[in-house]
Amino acid sequence: MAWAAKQSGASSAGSGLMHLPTQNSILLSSLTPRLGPDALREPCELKVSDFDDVIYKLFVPPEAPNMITLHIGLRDWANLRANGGQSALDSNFPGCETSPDEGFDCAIVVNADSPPKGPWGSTGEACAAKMADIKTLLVGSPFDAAFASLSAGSSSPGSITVVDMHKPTAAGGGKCYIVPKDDRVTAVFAVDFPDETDRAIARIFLQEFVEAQRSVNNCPPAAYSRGHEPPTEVQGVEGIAEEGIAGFVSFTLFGDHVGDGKRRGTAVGMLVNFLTYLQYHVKATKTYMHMRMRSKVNGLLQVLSRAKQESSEVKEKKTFQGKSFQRA
Amino acid sequence: MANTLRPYLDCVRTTLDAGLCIRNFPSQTVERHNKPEIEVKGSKELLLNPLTICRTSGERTLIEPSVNSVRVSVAIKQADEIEEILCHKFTRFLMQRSEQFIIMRRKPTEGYDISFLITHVHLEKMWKHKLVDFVIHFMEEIDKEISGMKIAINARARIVANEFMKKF
Repeated sequence: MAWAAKQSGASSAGSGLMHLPTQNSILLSSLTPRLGPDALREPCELKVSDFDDVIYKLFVPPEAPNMITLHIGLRDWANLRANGGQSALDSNFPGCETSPDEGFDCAIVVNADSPPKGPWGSTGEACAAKMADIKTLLVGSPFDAAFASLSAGSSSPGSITVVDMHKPTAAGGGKCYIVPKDDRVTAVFAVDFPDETDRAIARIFLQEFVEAQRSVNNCPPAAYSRGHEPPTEVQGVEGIAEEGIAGFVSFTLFGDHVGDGKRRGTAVGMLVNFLTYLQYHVKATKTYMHMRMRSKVNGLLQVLSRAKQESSEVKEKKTFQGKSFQRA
Repeated sequence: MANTLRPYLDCVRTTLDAGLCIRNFPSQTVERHNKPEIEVKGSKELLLNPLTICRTSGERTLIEPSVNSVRVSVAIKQADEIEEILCHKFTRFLMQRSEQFIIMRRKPTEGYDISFLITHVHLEKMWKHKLVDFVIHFMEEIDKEISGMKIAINARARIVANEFMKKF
């Protein structure tokens, strides 16, 4: 199908397995045939989970197969809504908001015969892509609002916006603090993992983000600090110091990082997906470690088997009836 | 093998070679039982003097010979948090496979990271010099593997961070 070909083309255009797409691919593959040129009109009820405890329910009633309802459940919607989530929803999907089902926080309903028009474009396919990317839109709305005022030159040292990004562990973590200043916006992530190994690997990773700014041109400066000494930007926030978490990492974005709409969109997407990206690579590292250990075990076993005397190998013998037995 | 490591491993090799002088010795207390005396520690006269070979305070080997078995325990150097975790992961991974490693103990002796128990049965089935070779090779490899994994994790972390930063 046309949409399938397009989708695989889009994913291969990225850098392989390095980055996770911000869009939810299940939603995308269900929405594109309905909103795209295929104009599929089939009823559907689909529940999907995404990273950071986001849940979706895609509902297309059999009596009106052109009305596509997407229910979304997020962490901390009340806070997001107040910090730009509502206006992001209104400007991207004007007039589409509807009441969410039980267990979900917000919902949009889209007519496939006349898809809504937004800043992302007016085609049905663009609408499907934006709907599949709704997590970035909603969770990223406080980031987007801060970056918008930065590039408009109206950023000022105001209050710190706290976004509850990820489920906290026993030690804490999972929050992002957005600190606007006159010429910059700093996003401070409190990172933690429930497992001690993950936490230790994450610490190495976070330190490397600081190193990365030396080798990558024009990237936002990053800083890392341990849990008990939060960065200066967020000192004074109540309950900020969290002993024992993997640490704080902060990215400071200047005006030119969010200059045009495309760069701003990328920056928001990267920050929203930062914890997922980190977790994904921490897990990948553990997999790699296991692969190494497995091959090492085989190597060591080979050395040990060389120590065995040939004659000591027990040969399996068979009786006349065909039963096998081992002679000691 | 790094030259600084050689004297340590040579010392372990000679001690092990001398210590692996064991024979079949059935239990004195229970009829038809044959237990490794170093584990049972039933009577004093069957145990020989244990020996600790230290390179540093963190890196040491304990060799405990007895009449029919020898226990070799190795403490692996752990310089920082990540090496500690890697070492713990790797030794756990190995000890879960101790059936395949015939001479490996399921649990290390206290204060050490990994232990071997060599009994007279093993020596009857395997060449002694090659068994000693294995223990030495193992000690070499485990150090190498842990530092190798550490470097690999750092390299991965660098790539991951760079790729993230490049996107902005």
